[in-house]
Amino acid sequence: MTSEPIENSASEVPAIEVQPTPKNIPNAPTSVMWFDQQMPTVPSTSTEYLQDSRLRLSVVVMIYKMPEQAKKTLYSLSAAYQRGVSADEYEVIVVENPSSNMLGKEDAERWGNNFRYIAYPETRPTPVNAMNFGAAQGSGRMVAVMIDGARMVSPGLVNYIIAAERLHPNAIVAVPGYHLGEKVQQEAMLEGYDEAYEQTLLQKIQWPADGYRLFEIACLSGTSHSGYFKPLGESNVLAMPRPVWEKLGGYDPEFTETGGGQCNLDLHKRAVELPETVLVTLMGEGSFHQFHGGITTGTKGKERLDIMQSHFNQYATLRGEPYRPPLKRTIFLGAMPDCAMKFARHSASTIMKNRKEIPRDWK
Amino acid sequence: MKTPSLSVIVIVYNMPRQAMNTLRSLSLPYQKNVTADDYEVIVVENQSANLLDPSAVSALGSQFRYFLRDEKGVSPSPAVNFAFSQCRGKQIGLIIDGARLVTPRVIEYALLAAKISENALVMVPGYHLGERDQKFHLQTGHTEQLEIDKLGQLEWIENGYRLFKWACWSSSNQRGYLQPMQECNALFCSAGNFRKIGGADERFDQPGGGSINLYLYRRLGMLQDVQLFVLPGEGSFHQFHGGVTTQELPDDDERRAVLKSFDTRLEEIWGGAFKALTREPMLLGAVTHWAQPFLEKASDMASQRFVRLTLNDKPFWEDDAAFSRFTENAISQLNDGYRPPEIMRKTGQ
Repeated sequence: MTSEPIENSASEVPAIEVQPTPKNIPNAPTSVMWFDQQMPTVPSTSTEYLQDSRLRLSVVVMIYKMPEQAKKTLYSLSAAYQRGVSADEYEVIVVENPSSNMLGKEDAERWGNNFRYIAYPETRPTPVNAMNFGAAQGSGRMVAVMIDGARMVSPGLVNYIIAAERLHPNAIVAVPGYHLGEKVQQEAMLEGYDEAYEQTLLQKIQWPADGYRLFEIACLSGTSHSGYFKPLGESNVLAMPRPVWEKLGGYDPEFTETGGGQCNLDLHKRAVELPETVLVTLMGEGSFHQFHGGITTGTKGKERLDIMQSHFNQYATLRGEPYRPPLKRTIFLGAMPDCAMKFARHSASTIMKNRKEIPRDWK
Repeated sequence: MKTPSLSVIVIVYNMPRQAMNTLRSLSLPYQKNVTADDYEVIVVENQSANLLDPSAVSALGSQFRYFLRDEKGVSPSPAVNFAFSQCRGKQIGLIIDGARLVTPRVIEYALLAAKISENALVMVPGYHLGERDQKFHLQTGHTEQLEIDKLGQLEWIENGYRLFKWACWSSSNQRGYLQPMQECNALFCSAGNFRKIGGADERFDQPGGGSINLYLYRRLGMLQDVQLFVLPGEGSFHQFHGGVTTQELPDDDERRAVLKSFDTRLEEIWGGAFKALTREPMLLGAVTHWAQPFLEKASDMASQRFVRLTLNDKPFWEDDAAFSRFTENAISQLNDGYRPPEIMRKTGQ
């Protein structure tokens, strides 16, 4: 019979893991120390809302200068790849900003009748206006925004977003982010990771035969690296009911930095922090970043740090403080595919090593 | 008064102290984010020398309804069917062993699951209080008094998730909830589905109902449109009470004979060899840090199971094969020649 004290104390816990964020940069995001004390409260669903026969979901995808990656992303959103849904339940709105390397209407719409292409006449290097415009063209009861068209998704995503809406009419749905490859691409590229290598990885898992196998060749991305039992800083597929999207006014056009700067983090935070919303995280699904020379994943060294610095600064200027992930507790939803199980284990053990970061008396 | 959406059945026999704890764990404000209008608790007690105090039960709230029955047999099955006849909710909960405490969001998540699918079958993972399965109570020194003391120290009424601090998986589910579970001791399903399987089969007339929990879980799980949900952050915790299979009998042969007779009856009624329900669960709910060690262990063991099955070319979720499923990745992986990554193979060997 052991007589260990039942109250375990935070003092047994080893030091907090170092965050990846460059802390010496002014205005860099602050790390998370505490979850919200409150569990999500879920008031009952209004039946009139659910009986509405409108399209359930509009997915808005931003494409800029990456036609090859975009094709894979769009295929991963098609009804041929997504499981448990049919093409008449959701639509995919593809918005593209002008560049020297365009995807075009034909390649954007060939994935199904539910795909629609919009060439947006943007003159500045930001996806914000195009995304807001695209979302406004959709009719789905929920809006899911994917601000980086280089992110492929797993096959249960659409179905679970639709299921999450049944959980609660104000469900904000977040999905953990992954990078293809063994380490995050901003590091892997320094060791020679490129599009050709990525292609061999995809061939190895016979993509797209079973999209869940993407987990086999992926790692958690920077903003999710400590796993999904800590608050996520952002979600690269962020879904919310259209009324919430409208209330927030979509992405904030004040984010004028290249690629929209921290506009996606900002939207995530504003959506989750609304008192009426419930955060739902799909732990068995993911969005997977393909290598494409993007703003923060494809630039090197000092150039990258400078860009990130200007993103942090703009956020801090607009919001009056550095970015800090929203602390609302999440409800998890979804099955755990076999190849994603290692990330559940990683996430669980990370949070146990960092128990100091969760309030001991969280009820 | 509104008709409740959910009716939770709790069967009690000869364990008033434990049952009162169970009922407290189903009362407000211990259960979070729900109101007394959302659910009712149907408490059915079979006559014994050791009864609940009905006034203490009704003091727990207007949603509690208490019935005392004279039962000649030794099985809870007739009591379950009586309780079911009293249920007003479209969804029911089954806690056949009244010694099972639950965590604070069991009711909320059961209701949520029913919103996703009206055929939701919600499984709350089962634990035993203490360091080891209570059937080893003589070896571990687990006594009723020890349990009373520990529960007091945990102040579980304040925060039910602290129960995870002094709990373990029982022998019947020792590999965790991310793989097939033998039985479930806090189970929720639609009243229609419970009716469809004919309620609690009264041929389970052995002490404690024998293996009725295993049978009900599989019967309900094999209905066509059922969607299985598992609540990874919640639990039902068995309190020590000298129950039929949870006490350490001085002579182990005696226990084996009892279990054997349960198995025999189970296979007679099932009509063949019985195995655990093998359908892919959907997870639902928040996970507190108290529950994280179990999630870590469960995901570890599930990875090992996936590797083992893959190497043997066996499907992951055999019972799903009969249905067109929400996520059918297990089957497709086998068809496309899936092999797990190297790192996972190592852990599996």
